[in-house]
Amino acid sequence: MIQIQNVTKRFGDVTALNHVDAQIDESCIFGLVGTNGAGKSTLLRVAAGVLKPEDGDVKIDGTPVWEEPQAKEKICFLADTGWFFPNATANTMRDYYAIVYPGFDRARFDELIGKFDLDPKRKLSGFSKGMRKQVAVLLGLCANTKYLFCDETFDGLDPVMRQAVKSLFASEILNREFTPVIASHSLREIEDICDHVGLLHKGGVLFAKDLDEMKLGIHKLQCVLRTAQYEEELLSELTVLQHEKRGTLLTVVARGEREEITAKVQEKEPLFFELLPLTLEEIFISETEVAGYDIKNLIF
Amino acid sequence: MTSRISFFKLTINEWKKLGWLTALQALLFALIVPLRLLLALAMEKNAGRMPLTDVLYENVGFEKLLTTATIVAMGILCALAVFSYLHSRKRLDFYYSLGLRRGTLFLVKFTAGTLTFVVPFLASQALAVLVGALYGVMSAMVVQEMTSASLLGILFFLTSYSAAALAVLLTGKTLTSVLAIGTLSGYLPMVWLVVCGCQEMFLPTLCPDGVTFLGEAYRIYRTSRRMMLDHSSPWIMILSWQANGESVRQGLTGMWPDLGSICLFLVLPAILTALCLVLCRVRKTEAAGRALAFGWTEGLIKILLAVPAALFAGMVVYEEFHSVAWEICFVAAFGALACVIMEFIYRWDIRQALAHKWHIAVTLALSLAVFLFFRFDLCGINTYLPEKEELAAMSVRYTYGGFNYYDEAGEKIRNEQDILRMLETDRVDLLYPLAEDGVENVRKTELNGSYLYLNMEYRLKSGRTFYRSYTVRRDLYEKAQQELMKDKEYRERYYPILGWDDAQLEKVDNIWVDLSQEQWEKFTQEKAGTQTGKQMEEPEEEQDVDDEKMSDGLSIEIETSIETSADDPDVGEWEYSDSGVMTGMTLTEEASRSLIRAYQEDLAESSNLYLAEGNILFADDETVGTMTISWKSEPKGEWTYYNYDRYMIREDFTRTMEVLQKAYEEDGAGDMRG
Repeated sequence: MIQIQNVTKRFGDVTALNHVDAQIDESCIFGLVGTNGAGKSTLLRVAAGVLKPEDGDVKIDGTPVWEEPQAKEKICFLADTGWFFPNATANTMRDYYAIVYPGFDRARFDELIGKFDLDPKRKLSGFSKGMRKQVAVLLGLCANTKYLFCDETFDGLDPVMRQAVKSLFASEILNREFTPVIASHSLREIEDICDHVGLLHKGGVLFAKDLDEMKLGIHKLQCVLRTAQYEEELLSELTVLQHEKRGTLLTVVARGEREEITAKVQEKEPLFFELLPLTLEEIFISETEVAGYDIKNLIF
Repeated sequence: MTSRISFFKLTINEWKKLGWLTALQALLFALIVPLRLLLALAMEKNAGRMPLTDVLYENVGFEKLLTTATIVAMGILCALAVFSYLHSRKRLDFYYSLGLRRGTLFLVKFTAGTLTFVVPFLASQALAVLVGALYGVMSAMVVQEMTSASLLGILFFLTSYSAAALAVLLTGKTLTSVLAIGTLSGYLPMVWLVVCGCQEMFLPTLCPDGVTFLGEAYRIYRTSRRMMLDHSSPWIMILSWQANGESVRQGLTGMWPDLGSICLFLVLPAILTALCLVLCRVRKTEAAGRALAFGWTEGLIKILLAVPAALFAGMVVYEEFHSVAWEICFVAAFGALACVIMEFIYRWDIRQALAHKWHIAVTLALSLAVFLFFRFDLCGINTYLPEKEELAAMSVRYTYGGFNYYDEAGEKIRNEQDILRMLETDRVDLLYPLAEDGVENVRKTELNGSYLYLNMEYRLKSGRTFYRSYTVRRDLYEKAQQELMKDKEYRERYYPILGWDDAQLEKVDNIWVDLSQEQWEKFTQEKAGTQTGKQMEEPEEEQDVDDEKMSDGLSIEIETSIETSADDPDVGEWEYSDSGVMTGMTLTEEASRSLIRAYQEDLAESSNLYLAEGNILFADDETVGTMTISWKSEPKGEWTYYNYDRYMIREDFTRTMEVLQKAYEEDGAGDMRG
């Protein structure tokens, strides 16, 4: 389990993380989402022991991660700007990882590199961005560490590869203790890979929940009511995260149980009413709007 | 908890990744050690001018400045290459996420970098042994010295390498690392030069001879010069140690370092590496990409560099314009400019070059304060003159006075202030006018008439002593000296030769006597020589005005030696140079003793004693020549110094002239010129 306790990290005058508290349970795929500059990369770098927080600490299975090899060797961190040695090939990187990650599975790496159709003897500098990402993910997976931190790792992976990696993650979780933490601003990537999501905003964690649970707790509805008074009453009765009216069509994103929301709308005898599926992107926008991050201000 | 990552495997892997660095050093050391030796041996074997062992000694072992300079340069290059990961966020993200402590990672990298040097360097030394063996000039002793030299080379490398690593740790970019190495190397000498320049320019009374200064500062100068300059940075320390060769003694093949030096170069890299490890722990990861790793040092370093730069500018303008307004403008402009340049280096953004204006303000305030302090002598150092009634004693000495003085233990007095203390007199009334004239002349840019540079000591009744250097009218000095010389006790203190006894005479190696043409003619007229008039009138081309005054176109040098054995077949004969011109005469030991004794008697009775001072400046119509006496001082460690004293021979020094005439008549018969 990863415990992030009251972590504050500043870069000069900028507070990248502001008293962040979070907990990442074992054997789940944790997605860390947030706006640009929310502190996702910073949080992962602090959690990987790369950055020292000004305040608070991160514990890996109860051991502080800062300058503690016992905790750090349980982590493999794939940074957003992944780095390979100059003139390195997949094989030379494999050899190095085998030294720095004592549990590294060479055979599995060789097998996977073949399956992904990557030439292990070709210089990585000659690979495309996506291919380098694949090599990075395979190295991280085969490091056999308990925690794998991926910072924007799925950027550049095509949908097929993303699915393949997702399958690999699922397989790892089934076969051993494995907890990937994936930071991304691409909510679609997170949505189809992660089962838990933490939302970072302006250096703080807005929430960290099970994705399905989160989807159950927020609903999007569209309706046409008879009078403006009904509309006002409905908006005041629901826990509205976001609402919009186009013509007579009222669209509302509200927090609450599905049945409860449906009952309240039906009381207003709507001319039209429908509950729509909510994407993670909409949940993200809604939650960040609540937190004062109004996307409309950016667009208009 | 110890990491399960193998230190050894990781180090070897890192070393492999630095293959280019190993190859570069292998090439360099192969060129300057075995290949150079091979070429030298091959050439000398064909030429046959010197023994091959000598060729070997010249190319291997200690005291090889080229090898040492290369080692120092490689130390810097290795540090810049090996620790460049500290300047890259990408690489830090990678390395710092590994299950290693930062210190461990640093040591892995440090060891790998060391291997890139040690392996090719030792291989080149081993190849040199092989080359020597091929030519049959290698011996166990040579191998022993080469082994020691190799180990010393490794210590030099570690010193340079760890110091450069420290510079890399203190910075966040390669460019600023290089600048930091330059700054660490040159900062102290630069400050030293600026301070000395300011003192020389603005506080001339503290800087006799324009070189050094008196009082306690002189002591500090003497003792700290090496500390300040030779020890101003690890790199300079190595090179100056090697170049000076003061810490080595003759060894089997060349020079051996002393134990102290070895200890120094053992301890220094250890301290520097320990410092690096501490910095590794406190250095933030986000320092990568910044100019300096520790933000708080930015302002401090900027000010510390900008202030001397501003002062230097002020000094240059002072020399050129002597205008206070311009000086202040230049000090301010250069101080601000230095700050702007530094800020640009920090930010690498011209728009932010004027950021941190308070740094500029502090720099200007400090620069102007220091400059004006020196410029206007705000402490009154130049003009301070105690009341005559406050003084218990004074002393004076011509800056270029050349006598050697000794303390009671027979040790040569080297400090000017100690000599002045020895020459103290309570005749304050005689010396005070000199001080008054000196103070008056301090700010004069042009002096008409004849002036001398004098060093003076003031001893106050309160016990306080201080020293000054002045430009004083010559007639005042001569008048004061004439009076002082009437005191027999002072005279004996002033002229060390008057106190010489037989034991002192035993030490004399040589005496040169340089006579005027008039005196020379007097000698030759009394002796039928073979010289031609043309030869006698032949002027010496390079004599200065005063020399001409004394020698009048012809210089005769008579060389005597007390140490020469009486059985020496050369005794009593003239010596000839290659060109055939007579260059000197060797006197017998007895004649040399007689010469000094005769001079002592003449000097003690002379009416114009102060004019017997050996400086050519004091020659007048009654001066007929000079006598330069030299002798070896007691050996100091590995070094033996020669002392020289020059005394004027005056017309009324009849005893001296008689001894010289006698020596000439006995030994100078025959051809005087070839």
